[in-house]
Amino acid sequence: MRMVAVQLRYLAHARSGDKGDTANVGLIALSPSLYDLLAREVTARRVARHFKGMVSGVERFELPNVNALNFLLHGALDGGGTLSLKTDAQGKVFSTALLRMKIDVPRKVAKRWRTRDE
Amino acid sequence: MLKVSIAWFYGFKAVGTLVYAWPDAVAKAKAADAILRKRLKALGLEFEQILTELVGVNATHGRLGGTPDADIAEVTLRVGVRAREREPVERFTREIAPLVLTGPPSVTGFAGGRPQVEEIVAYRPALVARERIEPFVQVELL
Repeated sequence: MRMVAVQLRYLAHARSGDKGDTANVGLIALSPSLYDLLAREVTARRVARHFKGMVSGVERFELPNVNALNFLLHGALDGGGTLSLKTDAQGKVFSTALLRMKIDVPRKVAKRWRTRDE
Repeated sequence: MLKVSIAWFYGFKAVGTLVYAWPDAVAKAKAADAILRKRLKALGLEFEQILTELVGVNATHGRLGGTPDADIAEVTLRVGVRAREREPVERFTREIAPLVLTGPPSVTGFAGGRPQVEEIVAYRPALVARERIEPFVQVELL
């Protein structure tokens, strides 16, 4: 099967927030048909690699009933909450940084969901 | 389990921002940051942390935001400091104006005056086993 690298922005929504120094990022498939693909490709290990140098550890939780994955990105907020000096101290837009990640998807799927060329 | 919100007095912080305009906005902001850090060091001030962000370049996505357009219209230099004592943070807030006067040109966004020193109340959410908590309510009439 021919595979194509596609940015997650074309396949999922993402929302995020904080708990202490941990950014909580939810990744929601744009369609139920995309959930299995996301669950297979967007592993904790690959997310950790994407955020290398920006987080200290990644945990993943699966929520197939809502076609979503939830990630805990530890050490992401420079101390977090009131302690953090960051603009995004509460990780409210950390989710969109995950949408920059690329995964390999079958060409047919890419054609269906990728609205713009990279 | 029960959720506990733990909060305690921690220290002080302040955040200063300046806007640098085209041309070479990013280079100017970086030069200003280098001057500021050198100055803070020369003053012998000690901070737990000094954080520099270039808003428009790396404030939300860090290195993932990529290399900024060389011709970017403007960039906001945002420098934050944190310390357990008030004094160094207070001194930091007086170092922004000199940057405007003697640092890289075509800078604006300082009409609001000196940055404010803020007290930090640190916060940590946690979980505690329900059986370890003895619930009671106390009402005092004053």
